[in-house]
Amino acid sequence: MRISENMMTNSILKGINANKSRMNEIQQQLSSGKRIQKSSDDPFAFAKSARFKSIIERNDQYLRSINMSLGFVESTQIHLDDINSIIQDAKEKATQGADDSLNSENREAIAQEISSMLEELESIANGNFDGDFVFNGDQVNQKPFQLVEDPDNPGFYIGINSPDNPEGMERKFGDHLNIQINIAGNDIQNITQAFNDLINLQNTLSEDWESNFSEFESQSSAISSQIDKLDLASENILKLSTKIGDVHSRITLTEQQLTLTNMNLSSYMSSLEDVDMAEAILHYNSEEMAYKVALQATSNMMTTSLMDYIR
Amino acid sequence: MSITNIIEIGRRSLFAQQSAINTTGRNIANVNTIGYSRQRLNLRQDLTGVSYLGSFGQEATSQIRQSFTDMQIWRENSLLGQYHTDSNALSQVQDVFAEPTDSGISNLMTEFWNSWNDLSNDPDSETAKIVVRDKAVQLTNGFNRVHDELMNHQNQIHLELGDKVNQINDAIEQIASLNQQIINTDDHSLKDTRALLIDDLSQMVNVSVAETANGELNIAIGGMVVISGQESNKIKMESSQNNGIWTSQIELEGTQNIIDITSGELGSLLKLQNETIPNTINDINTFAKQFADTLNEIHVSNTTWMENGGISFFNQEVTGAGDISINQNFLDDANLLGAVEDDGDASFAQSMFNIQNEKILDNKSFGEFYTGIISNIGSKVNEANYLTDAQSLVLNKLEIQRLSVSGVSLDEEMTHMIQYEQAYNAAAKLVSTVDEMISSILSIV
Repeated sequence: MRISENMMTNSILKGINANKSRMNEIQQQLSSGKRIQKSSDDPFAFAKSARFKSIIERNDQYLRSINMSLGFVESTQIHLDDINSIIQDAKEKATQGADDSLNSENREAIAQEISSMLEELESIANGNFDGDFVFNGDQVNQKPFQLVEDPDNPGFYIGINSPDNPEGMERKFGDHLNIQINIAGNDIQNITQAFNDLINLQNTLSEDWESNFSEFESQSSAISSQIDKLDLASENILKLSTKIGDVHSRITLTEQQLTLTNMNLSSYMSSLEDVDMAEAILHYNSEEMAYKVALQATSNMMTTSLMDYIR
Repeated sequence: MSITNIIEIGRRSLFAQQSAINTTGRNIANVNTIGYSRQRLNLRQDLTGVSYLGSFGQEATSQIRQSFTDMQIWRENSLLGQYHTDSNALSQVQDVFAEPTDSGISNLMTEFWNSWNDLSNDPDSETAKIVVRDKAVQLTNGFNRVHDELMNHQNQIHLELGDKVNQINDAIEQIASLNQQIINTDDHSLKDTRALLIDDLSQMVNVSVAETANGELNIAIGGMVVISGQESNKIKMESSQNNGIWTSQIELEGTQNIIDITSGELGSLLKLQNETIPNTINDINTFAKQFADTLNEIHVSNTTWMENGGISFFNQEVTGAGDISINQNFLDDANLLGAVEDDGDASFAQSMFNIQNEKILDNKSFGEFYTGIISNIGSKVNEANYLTDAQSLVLNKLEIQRLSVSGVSLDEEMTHMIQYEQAYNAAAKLVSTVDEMISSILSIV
């Protein structure tokens, strides 16, 4: 083949250019750490990693929900424990009040203590998490419990206004996983019952205990009868605690699963779109080598011509 | 044979070698001239055995050109032009979407869905609602931006098409007039210029070139003759605009004949303007409209309990990505957005969040459909890049073939120079020898 001057320059330029553009590509990959910077770099891997990314983002979102809900659930647990300890305190007072040696004045004093316990119970049952009432179903902005005071007898309570079967609040922790995170429906009746039990206890301790508890022979037996009721109430509140504890563990389990899934997806995504540094640097080195050789050869070749040997 | 005849031989050979060196000089001077084909002096023996020149000047020189390679280059060039333009224009379309970046619709959409999830955790929180509203505004702005930029891009391509048609017409006129001049003068440099022009023309549009017996080149575009000898026909573009989208076709000027443009830069631009970009705009419009309709439906059905009945999330009359915007009432009162009867009722916000998993468009979720649009363009760019590379190789080969035949080799020219110089010296020696001989003869007298 006849070789003309421009042929040589053309192919040298084309070669060096191609070499440089490959180096540029590798250099871009190295500096960004990404193998896919545009969908055209690898349309298939791009689509795949976009899908993974959306799953990861969604899972992150579920994890956020979990964090917020866990606070609510934990707060519910604490409130239930508090309710239970008040019931225990009341039981202690009841045992104390059932003592035959006490006179009506002593019992009146205990009744006053029960009164403050009731107020404390009211404040706990109206407890909120981040401004949302815990025991009022999805009506989170309305105060659920309201004690009714005896107008003729201050310090004594005659009833409790409580929510009627409030609705459960479901939160979404997975594409197909909804979990009810609050105490709702009939379960609320257990808290209402605790109020009523304490109100009854207070009544048995009052002077005119006979108006309500005439079936009992003595005041102390009337008081004793309330102790069993309090035991039952405590047991029911404990059941609620177990229930909410179960919700808590389900949520934490989901949290672990989501974190694990995201870790796996992230590493797979990284294998799709991230640069294998070692490999890229190796490629870069070999391209650089080729580039240097091409330049060296070119500079030697282009300065040599027949001219050097004529005369 | 007279002695003066020998002087004549010496004189002619001096001229002949001088002309040869002249041609060599021209070749050396044009070693870097683009499109220059090397020339050669045709030396022939005359009847009397003396090397002679038919007449001095260009007629005696001839151009070394292989028309077979030229024809191949002109055929392949249009494909390179097409792939190259495809690759550039489609990359720009790809850049409009700005994926994968934070400002891409994909990310804005994810943030929008996530804001609904945050709202579902606290369904009556005004802050969460304001976040949903702002994310929705960002998303609609993203849609508007992509739509407007695609429209601009299409408009830009339309203008480029007009320019390209003008360039083609200029080339056609020049080639036709060169055809005429070449017949009249037979200047080699004109042939080079004409070949260069056809190189350009063949990159812009698919041409077929045929050479006539007298050296004219006839050219047809898509089967329509645009250059026949010295006659030229221009082409023109007929366009119509519908909803801001241009559709064009190329016709032979003065006729209704549509020219079938299959490749070249013009072919690429036509296809981009008439098909690729409108299809992409269509896809993104379908997407935005379905997105708005689906969200509106759920928002309306969940807010029917309100005094004034259900309210839509986006404006009612969304036709596509260009005019999607959120319900203006939300800007005044964010509480209307995702309003719930019971403050802790998360089901509304959850059902909005859930839409992202539903297969709504072509059995795909919104995210999947959108990724489909992007990876579709991505593979087109990828393919165009690949084809550009491959076609460059083909043309490079042909170019090398052409240069191998027509290109100047300095080594060769210098060898020729020495060769002709020696011959010139010898001829001069001949003249001086004859001179001495004549002197000898004269001295005898």
